[in-house]
Amino acid sequence: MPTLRALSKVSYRDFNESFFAQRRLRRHARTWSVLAFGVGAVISGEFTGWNPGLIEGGFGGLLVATLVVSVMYVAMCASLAEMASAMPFAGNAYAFGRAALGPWGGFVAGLSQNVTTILMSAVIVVQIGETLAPALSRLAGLSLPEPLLWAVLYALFAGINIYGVVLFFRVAVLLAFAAVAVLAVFWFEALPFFELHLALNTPARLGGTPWLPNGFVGIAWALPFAIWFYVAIEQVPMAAEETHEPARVLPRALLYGMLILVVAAMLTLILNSGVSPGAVGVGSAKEPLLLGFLAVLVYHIPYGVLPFLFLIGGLASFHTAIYAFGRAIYVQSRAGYLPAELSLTHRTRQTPHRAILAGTLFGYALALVIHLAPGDSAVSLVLINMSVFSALISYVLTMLSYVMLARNHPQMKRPFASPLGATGAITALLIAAAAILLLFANPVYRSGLYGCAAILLGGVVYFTLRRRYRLIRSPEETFALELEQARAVEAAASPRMVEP
Amino acid sequence: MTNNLPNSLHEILELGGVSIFLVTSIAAILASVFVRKTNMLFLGVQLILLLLSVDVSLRWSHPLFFRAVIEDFQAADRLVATALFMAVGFTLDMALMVFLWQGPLTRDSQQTFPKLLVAVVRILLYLVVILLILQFVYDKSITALATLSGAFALILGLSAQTTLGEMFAGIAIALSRPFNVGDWVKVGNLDEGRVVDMTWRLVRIENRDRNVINVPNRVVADSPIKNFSRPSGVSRISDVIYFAQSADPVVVQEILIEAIRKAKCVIAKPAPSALYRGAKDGVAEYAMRYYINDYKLKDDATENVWKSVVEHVTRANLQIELPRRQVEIWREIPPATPA
Repeated sequence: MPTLRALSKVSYRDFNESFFAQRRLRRHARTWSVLAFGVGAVISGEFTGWNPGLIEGGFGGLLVATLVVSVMYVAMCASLAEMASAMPFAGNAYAFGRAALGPWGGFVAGLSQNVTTILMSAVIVVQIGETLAPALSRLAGLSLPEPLLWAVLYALFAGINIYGVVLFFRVAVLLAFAAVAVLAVFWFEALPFFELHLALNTPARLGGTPWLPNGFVGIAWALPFAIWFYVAIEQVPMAAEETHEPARVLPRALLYGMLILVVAAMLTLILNSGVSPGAVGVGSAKEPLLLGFLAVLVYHIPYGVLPFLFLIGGLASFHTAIYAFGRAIYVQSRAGYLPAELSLTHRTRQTPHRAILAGTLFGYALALVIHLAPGDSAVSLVLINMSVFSALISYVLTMLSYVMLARNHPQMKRPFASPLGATGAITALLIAAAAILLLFANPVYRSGLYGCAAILLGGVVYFTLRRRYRLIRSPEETFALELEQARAVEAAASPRMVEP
Repeated sequence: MTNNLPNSLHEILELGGVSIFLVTSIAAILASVFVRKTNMLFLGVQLILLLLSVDVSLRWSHPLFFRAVIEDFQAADRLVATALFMAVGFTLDMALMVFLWQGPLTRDSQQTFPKLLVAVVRILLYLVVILLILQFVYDKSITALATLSGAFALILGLSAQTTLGEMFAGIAIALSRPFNVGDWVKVGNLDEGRVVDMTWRLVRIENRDRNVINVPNRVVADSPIKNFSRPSGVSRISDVIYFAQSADPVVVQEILIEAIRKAKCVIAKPAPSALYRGAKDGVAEYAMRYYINDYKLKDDATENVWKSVVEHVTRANLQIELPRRQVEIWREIPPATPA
């Protein structure tokens, strides 16, 4: 169709010299900082979020789901490491999608990355508020409304993010280290209290067994909760333009980070489920780790302090979520997919303050929606599910990018090669796609996918009507255009491979 | 109905293993289809892992999933074990391909190892796998089978003596390696030519007339072989030229060496030489010796050298002579010498 072809064309607009000078980032991080950034982004998932999987799938079902999801993330991190070393741009999913799937694929991948990070920040801030508000009132007699707490939290961490990348990474290292330390204390304390029968006390439904109370279907329902153990590790390559030697540092951070997280996820899953009150209590709790702590070390730590220990994980992830959506909005704006004003960086601090502020406003609004929607109503559930769905969509797109790059651009320079190759990428793609389908089969989650589809569709319409003729040759775009050109030259040089 | 859901830690882990290896195997197949990279080895490892986990989990997974296809547990178990053995064989085959045939035995991205030996090894490998399956999966003693195959081999050997002879000669050639594909050789009294192929029955040599000589392996194995491409591609060519005895050998040698050096195809090192071989038959004999680094260029080199030599000699006002022999014919019988 000629109209469709005309609509799908993109064009670039000119820009003056100062365009990129006004959008400069500052390189600071090295391996440890980026590693802490990656682990910190995920670590709240070990504190809470995974536990309803115990109700859905039982201990055995969640264990299987976690194993499968671990394979997906390990394979994905290996593939991401390869692409991040080849394309060390802050664009992450957008950069990879742009190079492999063209401007449209890049736009959708980048948009789903935006949606994921902003939603994650909202979901986490709501979780923090639920713990912080009662803890404050108990400890200091201070009863603040939760929306006010969120405003304070958003303002504080957006402030740190805008203040400068050095402070950001310092705080990230501190929080990540503290969060892992809290978990480690829990594992050591919980080990002697572990009892298998407690982990298996989820009541079995018809035909179920203690290990799989809901049968095989339970494994599928437990999948989105297992994803909480690792979601957000994919944000690590976003630090590319603020890292020294990104081609060497990013693969290390991704793979070591993944190693730490696999260990953390397994230990948390097993030990937290196997202490009193067991899988049923932990599964339905909002603060499972807190429950675990109460069971094992109430003697060692004053009761009032416990909630604050629990908060560290949430804060670590909240801190990095703000960084992540800041960079996600920044790169899409820098390339013209979003209004170019959003990507201006602060003149002296060299952080994308406008993007961070925009994301903060969106996130706060979403948190309000989650809060103000009556009870445990559909809206809040939809938003939480949407964050999982949009993450899965961006996984499918990034892994598809990997496969297309391996197929179409084998000559591309790859300082780090994934040891799992295309097989790993396709494994992650299959598991992510299967997770989307399985989730879609469950009416409880289906609304989340509709929400994502609505946003992505809206985004595509916006891109078609307003932005596609205003693209800018940002580093990501330049790389992708050069790659296309190199391929065209190569194709012209050797019209057809002669089969021997 | 008995409840067959996995219900212990190791059954759960088996379930996880099966699901993971199922996905990775599908991914490996897709990867070898879509991303045209030969990761068949990877696929083999995946299949082994998948079948291994199916095998260990068959206790509970058979009644749940496989009963609809194969009623009998024993039969299903054997089927999985057979598939597992075959997967191991396939993986070994692919590993040999990746790490041997296409690995160290490959030069200049050309598989130098004869296809014949590869085929023999592969057939033997799968034969051993089948025998192992019969022995361990189906509990059929392979001693009888081995005896039978021995007798069979005897009959086969007698009836296919020539062909088998060729085959073993082929293996002997492959192991002793008198030449590689691409070498210039002269086998026995045959024309010299370039080896283009080595199969399980014959060696193909393309001669300078661009015809292919098919030499049976046994002939190759029994004949002396002159290899022009070994130890390096450099070969010496030698040619004789005559000048008048009056010409100064030093001057002639200088002119000849200069002329040879100017000729195309002749390499500078080792240096060409012109050997003075003495004055006989009324002329002075010189041997022109020079080296080429590709035996294919032998004729070209000879032509170029002669052109250059003739040109230089003419310019130096010398004359190329022919060996002369004075024959005296007597009209009358000479008087017999007194005894």
